[in-house]
Amino acid sequence: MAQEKTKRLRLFTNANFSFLHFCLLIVVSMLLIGVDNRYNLNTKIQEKIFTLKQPLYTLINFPNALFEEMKFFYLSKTTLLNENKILKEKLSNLQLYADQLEASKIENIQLKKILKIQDLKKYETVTAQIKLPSRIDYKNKLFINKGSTAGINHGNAVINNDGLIGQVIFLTEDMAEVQTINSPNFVVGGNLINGKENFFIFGNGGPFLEIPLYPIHRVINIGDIFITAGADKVYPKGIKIGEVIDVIEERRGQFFKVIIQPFAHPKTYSFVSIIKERS
Amino acid sequence: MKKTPAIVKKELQLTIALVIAAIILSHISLPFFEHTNFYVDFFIALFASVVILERHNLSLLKIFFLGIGADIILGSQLGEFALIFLLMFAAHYFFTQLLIFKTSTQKQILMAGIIFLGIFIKFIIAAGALIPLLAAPLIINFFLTAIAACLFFLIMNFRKN
Repeated sequence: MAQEKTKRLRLFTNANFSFLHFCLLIVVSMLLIGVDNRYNLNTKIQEKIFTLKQPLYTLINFPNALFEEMKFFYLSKTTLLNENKILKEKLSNLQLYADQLEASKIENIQLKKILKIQDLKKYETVTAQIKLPSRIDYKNKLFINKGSTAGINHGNAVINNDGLIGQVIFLTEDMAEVQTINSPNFVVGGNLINGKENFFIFGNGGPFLEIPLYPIHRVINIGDIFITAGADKVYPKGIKIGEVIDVIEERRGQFFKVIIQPFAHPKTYSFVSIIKERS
Repeated sequence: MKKTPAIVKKELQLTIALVIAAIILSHISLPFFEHTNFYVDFFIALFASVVILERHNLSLLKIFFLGIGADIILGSQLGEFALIFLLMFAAHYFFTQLLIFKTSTQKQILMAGIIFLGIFIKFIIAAGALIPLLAAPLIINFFLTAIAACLFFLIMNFRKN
């Protein structure tokens, strides 16, 4: 009996390294990796334990929040007045632009009526604030302070004033995680602002995006702008993605590798807009 | 030398404090490294130091559950750290059976070896079709993690004169 007990407990002692148990645990680990890959087990676990992780995120946010508070507190009156002046100028320009858009909108509605085109505008936006951390383990992550209660869903596109930032990949009631546009494995369908062909634009973990295989017979120049194609029904057509900064010849001259500098950087603004389908 | 319960308790407290530090540090970006493929794996670093110093009575099952815990904390693939930790532990066991590591320097060399193994397994699991892209930062990540492991090693090995 005692011997049996000792045998069972061999797994819990350092002195006896059981090769059989080692192999068994390796197989279990590999099985877990496979199952997690297929059924996203850890994502489901993360959704359940997110509230437990909140204090950690609050702790990580604390120095930044304190710095922002102090910065705001010590801003001089002159700085604030200057900022106010610049914002007023911007507002006046935007007002002018909005008036022009309003005229175009009315014209657009009238033309649609004449041509009997269905209304395609089915998106609305939710504004949210970015929270730290920006990186967990070695993956770029972005957290925002709004979740499913604000009507956000998995897969919603996230933008800021400059362009596309990413996509919602993880959701709780009052928080969402955004996969940034430059993360590895991020793909978005886009086309040139003046072109018709769609291309897949990939993130690679670095600061730039790329199109690995761009046909060499298509014209592309440095400075060309890519926008979302809208074909995937996730990102509405026309959101600015980035600007071509380099074109490299690849695979014995059959393809170009196009390097794109994204317009939007999540750290540029502390607020983002989430595009969701109109309810 | 047999450790008194008070020493065992103190060592456990220190390790828990270092685990908390590793969790916090894993959530903070590296300064000056914009590229996400460069990282310091604090969990691998800490685990390597604990294994090398033979601090706690680690067993295979304990290591497996520690790995699962790390996976859940970091949100990585379930089983990834369990596999890495088990293989690192097995490598340590194998080399200590084969050779004698007595001095601090010898132990640190072994630690560097098992860290490289850990980083390499992580790279293999995460790489997929991105091997050419991720292969370059592998060495840099190894050095960054080895530096972190040396710091953990020094903290854990620190003794008052």
